[in-house]
Amino acid sequence: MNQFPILLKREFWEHRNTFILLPLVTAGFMILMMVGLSITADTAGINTHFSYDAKGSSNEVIVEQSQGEIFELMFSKLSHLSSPEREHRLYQILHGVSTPLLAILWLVVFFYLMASLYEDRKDRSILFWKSMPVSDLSTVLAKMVTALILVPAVYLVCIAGVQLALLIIGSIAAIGHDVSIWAALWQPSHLLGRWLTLIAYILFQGIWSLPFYGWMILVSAWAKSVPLVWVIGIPVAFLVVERIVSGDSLVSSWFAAHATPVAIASGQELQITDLLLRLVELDTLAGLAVGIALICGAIWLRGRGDEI
Amino acid sequence: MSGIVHAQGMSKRYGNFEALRDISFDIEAGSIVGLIGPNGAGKTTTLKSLLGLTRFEGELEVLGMDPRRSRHEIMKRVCFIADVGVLPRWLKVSEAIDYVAGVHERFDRDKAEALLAETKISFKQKVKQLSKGMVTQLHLALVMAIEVDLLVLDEPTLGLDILYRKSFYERLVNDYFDRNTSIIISTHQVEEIESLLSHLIFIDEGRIILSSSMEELSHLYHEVLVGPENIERAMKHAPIHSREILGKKSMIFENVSAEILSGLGEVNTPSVADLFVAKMQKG
Repeated sequence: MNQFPILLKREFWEHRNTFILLPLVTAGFMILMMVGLSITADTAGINTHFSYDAKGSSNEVIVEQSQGEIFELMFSKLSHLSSPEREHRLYQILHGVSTPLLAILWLVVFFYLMASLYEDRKDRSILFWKSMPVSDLSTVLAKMVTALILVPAVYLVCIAGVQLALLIIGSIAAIGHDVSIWAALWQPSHLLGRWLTLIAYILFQGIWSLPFYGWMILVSAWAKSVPLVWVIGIPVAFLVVERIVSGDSLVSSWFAAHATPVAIASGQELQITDLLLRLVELDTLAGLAVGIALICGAIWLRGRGDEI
Repeated sequence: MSGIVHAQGMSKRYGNFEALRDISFDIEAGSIVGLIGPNGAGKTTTLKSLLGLTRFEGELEVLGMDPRRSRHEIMKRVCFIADVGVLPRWLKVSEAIDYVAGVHERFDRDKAEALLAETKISFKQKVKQLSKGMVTQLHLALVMAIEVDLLVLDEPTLGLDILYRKSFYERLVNDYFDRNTSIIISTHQVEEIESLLSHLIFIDEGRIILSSSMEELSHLYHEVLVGPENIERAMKHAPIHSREILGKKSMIFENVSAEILSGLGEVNTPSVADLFVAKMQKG
């Protein structure tokens, strides 16, 4: 029988709040903010207009102009740019709205993996999980697949939702302008391409940071208390020892680089081809090997693992 | 298939503490074994070893497999209820059923749901909203809906009030009566399970001090209520235990035939609890 689907479901039952609710609420909040901005900016404009009549102050007129309706402003700015600039600016905007969710995703995965094989040892429910005919390999793999594929997928859907909402609100604001909404906004956004790139990025991130993720799940299978201390403490202690013994910090720097999310520098656009090239680099492959070794260690420890 | 469990020279240390010292025993198919001992005697360690939930030294076969290597294979045919409270607190009752149905080939969902329908447990509740007794009921319902060869119960009624304790064992007996399932129950409350057992293992300080079928036991051990006039004669047969009752002495003898003892007073089979006390003090 294929147990894997229910093992994945199990993870979502336990972490419904951070896996589903949190990204939905965050995305909902961001969309509400955008809607709010597009509405209140309008009313602000009207209000200033009234106060201009009453007081006759010229400062208020500037306020009216600069506040305007920010999405309308965005649209008119975009429509005046050259095509490559417009594409780049849109990339920055769309990337910008994805950043909060990507940052939350990183934190959620971090804390999830660190607790994944620790919490059930602490609350003794490991005795229940292990009394089921589920191998330690399946248990650990289900957690890795959850952390590196499924949870990111949920967050990506939410990011896509926010980006769509942004473009829709922008389109509504652009009604009445002479320029084609499609040509100025949607076409240069390359939304589908951006989403594919984001998927590729998330998958690449999973492979690139496998030494880090593997390290976290290993600690969670082994730590007898506060895994956070060990997750951070041992690499830091290692760095100090490495400095003293060898005079440099080659291994530590390598690990730190893999623990850092692959930068999506807003100045430099992320391309699938770049990711593919990086995928076959020796550095990435070495990370993959180290990550797999650490995960195997976690599976082995889980097999010996007792409740704490 | 006759042997369910074969243990030979099992040992386990936690640092300086010897939890198990070279224990050996066998469990036959269809037997109901009571693993009796005081707290810290090694009961839980023994049971967890059987299930592949802890490491140990020595030889152990459960259903012909080594639990250290084949835990998840063994768990297809063995169920385990630990002392209360090992169901994860965040799990909903409906999710618990879905989970077991999703991982266990021998799980009968209808049966589990029927068993739960007899309780006050609702499918929408989370484990943390249930009382201790209800959590045990839930776990038992899940386990009873699985067709297994061996059921391992580690102090299953610990911390439950008397009503739950009674109904727990009643359910167990009624449900497993006509199955060929072997059951191992550990407890320090012997009286509760005495009538269920077909086999008895006493364990203390990591050693097995008695392992016998209930039938053998009734041949091997006798309790005699000896009047003051016979005490001297009785002492010659070296009772392993004696205590004063209403001016007479209740003595337990090991390996002395009932015919010889019948001259001293009325001969009975000692209760497991009395025998346990006798063996403990002797040991």
